[in-house]
Amino acid sequence: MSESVSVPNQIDLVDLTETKPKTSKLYSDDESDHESENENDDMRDIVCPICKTSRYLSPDMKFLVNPECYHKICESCVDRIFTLGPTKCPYENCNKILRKLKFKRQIFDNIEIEKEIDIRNKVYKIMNKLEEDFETRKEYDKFLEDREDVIFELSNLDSNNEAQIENVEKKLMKYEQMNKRLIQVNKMKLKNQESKQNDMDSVQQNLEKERLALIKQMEEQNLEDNQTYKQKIIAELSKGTDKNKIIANVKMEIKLKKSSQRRKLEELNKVLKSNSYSYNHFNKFQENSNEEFADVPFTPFNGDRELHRKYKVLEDHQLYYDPFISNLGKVSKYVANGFNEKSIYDRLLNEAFLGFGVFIEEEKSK
Amino acid sequence: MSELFVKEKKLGEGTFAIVYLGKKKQQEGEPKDEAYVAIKEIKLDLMKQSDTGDNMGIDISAIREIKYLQELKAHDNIIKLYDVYSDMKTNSINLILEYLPMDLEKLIKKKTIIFNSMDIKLIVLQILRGVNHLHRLCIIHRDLKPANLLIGENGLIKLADFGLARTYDDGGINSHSNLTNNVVTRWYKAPELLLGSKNYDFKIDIWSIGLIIIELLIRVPYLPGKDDLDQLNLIFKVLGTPSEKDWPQVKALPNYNTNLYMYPKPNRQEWRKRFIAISDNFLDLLMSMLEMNPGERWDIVRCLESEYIREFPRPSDQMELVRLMNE
Amino acid sequence: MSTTSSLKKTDKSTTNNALYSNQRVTDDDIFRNSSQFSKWSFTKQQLKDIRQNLADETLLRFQEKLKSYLAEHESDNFLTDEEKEAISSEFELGISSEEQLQIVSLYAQKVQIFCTKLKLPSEVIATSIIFFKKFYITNSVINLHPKNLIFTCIFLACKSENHFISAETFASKVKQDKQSILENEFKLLESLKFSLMNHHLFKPLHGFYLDIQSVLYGKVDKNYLGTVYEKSKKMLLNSYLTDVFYHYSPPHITLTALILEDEQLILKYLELKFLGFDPLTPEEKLNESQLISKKMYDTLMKTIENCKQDLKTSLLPDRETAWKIDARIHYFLDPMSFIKRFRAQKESNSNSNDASDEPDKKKQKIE
Repeated sequence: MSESVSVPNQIDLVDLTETKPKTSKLYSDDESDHESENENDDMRDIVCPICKTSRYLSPDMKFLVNPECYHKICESCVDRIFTLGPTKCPYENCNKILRKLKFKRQIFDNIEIEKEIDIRNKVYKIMNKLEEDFETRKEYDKFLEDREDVIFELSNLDSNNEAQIENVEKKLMKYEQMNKRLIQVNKMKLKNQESKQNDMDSVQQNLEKERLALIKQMEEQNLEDNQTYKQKIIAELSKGTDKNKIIANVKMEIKLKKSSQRRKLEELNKVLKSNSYSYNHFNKFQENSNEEFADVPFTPFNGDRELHRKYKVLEDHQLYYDPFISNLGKVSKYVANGFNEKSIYDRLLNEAFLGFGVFIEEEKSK
Repeated sequence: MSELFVKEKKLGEGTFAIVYLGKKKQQEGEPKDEAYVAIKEIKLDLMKQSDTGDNMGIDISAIREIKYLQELKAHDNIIKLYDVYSDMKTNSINLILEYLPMDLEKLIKKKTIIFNSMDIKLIVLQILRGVNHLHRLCIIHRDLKPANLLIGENGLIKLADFGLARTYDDGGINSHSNLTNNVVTRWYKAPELLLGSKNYDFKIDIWSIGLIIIELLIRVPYLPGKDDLDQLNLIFKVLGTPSEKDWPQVKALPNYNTNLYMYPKPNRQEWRKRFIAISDNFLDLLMSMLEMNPGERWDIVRCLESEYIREFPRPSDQMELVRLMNE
Repeated sequence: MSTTSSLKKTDKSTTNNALYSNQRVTDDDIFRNSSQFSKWSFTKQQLKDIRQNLADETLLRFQEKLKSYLAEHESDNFLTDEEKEAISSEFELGISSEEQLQIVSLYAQKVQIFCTKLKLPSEVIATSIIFFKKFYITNSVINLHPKNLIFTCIFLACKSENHFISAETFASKVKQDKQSILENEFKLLESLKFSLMNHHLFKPLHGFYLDIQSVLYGKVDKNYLGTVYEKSKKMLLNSYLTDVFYHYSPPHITLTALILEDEQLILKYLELKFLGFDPLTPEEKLNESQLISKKMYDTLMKTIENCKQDLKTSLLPDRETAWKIDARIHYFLDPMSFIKRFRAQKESNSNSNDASDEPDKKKQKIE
């Protein structure tokens, strides 16, 4: 096969449409993209700010971060500095005390997202109520919303505003104390679920793929948004509008956008979890996901087809003697249209019995 | 009859009709009905002044719309026609329709909205159910596209615009009449139509749905041809040029050109590469809906029976669409 | 307008559970949801009442017309007492519901004849006739003379059944003025309650043709069944001139036509298909499911028996009746013509000529 004949892939289509399908990433992306995340780093990121070692010279170099401050430090520096015990972050002006144990590999290019995901995990461990803990769906939704608020507040804290940090942390602690028992119980439950989840079926793998794609998409979107919002703020400021108001507006906008994306992620997580459960307990899942319709099972047709047909189409349709139709099956323009004798017979028989059980005189006199 | 509804504002204007947002007028002794309706006003004298001088009387698309909507009042995924009345004063026919403020095209274009696989399934399922009902009633829509899939305030997807619909006549057994191949908006046109077939059937709707679903996934039209010729070429380029082997008698179709460039048919791996994050069963469904040979292409019943519809996850709740719409 | 009042309610009911409502829609329900059933199917009594209402209205209009005509000539002594009496007794007849049905059936037959001349497909012919007949369920023949609606019906039926003919071509083919065809189209559409879909009988006939083959496989001669099919098709085409369309579902009418063609064959088919045992078996010898089948079978037989009678009953008037009705429509539009004819007749009677009741001119018009 010569090159010019090759089947166009997504990129060809992008050229054709002349619009870059940004959100198409979710479904059309190449898998290899996920693994190449760190290859796209620019020069600045490739040098460890502490020892100035360049990744160019030592390709094995890995960067780690500590959730206390998220400053990026190369693996060998972490080893060197923190092996002897907790000590101050080597970054200038950062007074956080860091422990080696807490260092972890940075997953996302964007540190803001990395931070948010960590906060998310932390909050989830505490505010871990399950849907079954609530009487109504509405209350559960309210809880999810509250949780999102806490996460949002935590991840958008001004790191210099100690009072604010304390305030939010306090809220979380208070919640933890009040729900101690439930948190423990749910922890167990979640753990159980997680262990079941280990044998993921293919559906879950797909969902997982989707989730990763979504996270990545969010990350990209985020970077882009940050740019646009900055521009927006600058533009608005140049018009002389009230500074605080602008920032508040933009923040609100970000929050709304994020919360919708987060919610999608949240749903996926939920399904991912409930799925392995459902795999073994088919009916239970249905009750869980659609409690309001527990008595009505999910069916693709939703009742819109006849289950008890009054006729049977002969398996061997050639047994029908119908010169007209069997001739049509020999005409090439009909053949080209996928003309199917059997389906025509089916349609005709269907017409024959359409309304067979309707006795007008009787039904209309009611 | 006309005084039963008030037209509040113009929503749009088509070739033969004006659509208004309206409300039911409050009747004495009745509670006020706040629900909005869409009023499609079909002017009759407009048609009498046709420039071609070829007067057709009541416009054929108006006739089709009225004819089919009257029979399709029982399905949730088809726009509801509440009533029809004639207005002698303005010499017009007024269709009182469900007011559906959103459509799939707008939803797809709103890039800030993110669909997860459950939302996608919710939308796909509803489209399939609507079309299943049509096909069960022997009606071919002939103009399925995102803009004709409206969304109600309750998150239900509804098939609309029946101006091109017609009854399938079982291969012309009774009427011996050929169908016109000048139907369906180009990007969603099945290859048999582009090849000039006049004996097509329900499968042209399936092709359109297949492309609508892909558009839902990639958020841009998948096969945006510039003209009919380009469209056909694009289809072949992306899905392979059909040969007599995989599409018997294709050469008998009027526009089939024997000098066609033979693009290879994409195999499963190729499809997989194009749609990385969807399930195997979903991929099967898409491939079968976009089967070039209409004889091999799945019919609507087979589509609804597909494993994709049955497998987990279940479609999200329809209120999810409402939330997405309001974002 | 009942649909709109429940507009909001239906919206709400579908808000939450539409995806899971799971209401079974059988093929019978599909027919029940059709406009043919919901808007155009009646019991015999219902149809009779509707027609009687129309006849009552028509009579009122005759009476009004008479009154104003007599008032017009109150003072000029134009009318003799004898003439007054004659026109009064003529106008008091109005157009009875039977007469309206007869004259409409007569013209419906003309619709059929014209369609056949135009070589239109069976379904278009059937639709044209149905449109025509439905129009005169709610419109009196004195409002619009049936002869003026024939082509409008055919034209609209062509469009509705996707048998495309432009108004120009159509008008020139039937040698009519285009405007006269189009001017009543709107009124026709309205009278049809804006419902244009018809479940015709030809596909069901074809379906039964196939089903009989499979149920009576090897027991029926293919060529013979072919002739039964052809003959039944002709009968079904003519069935549109009767009222069966309003009172029976398509399968019932189709089976009736088949039974009228060969009762023995079709009964054998139905017995084998729905009973599987001799219908004369005493009830106490049947099990529960057999009893249910038997009950359904009996209802079907009863319905077919009724339908048989309706199919055989011709609604067409004899020539003399037709002429009388047509003349009365004419008199209504132009009372003067009645007086003229009355005078002419009287004159010819006094000349003791045994002249026919029907002037030749009128005769030609109807044929």
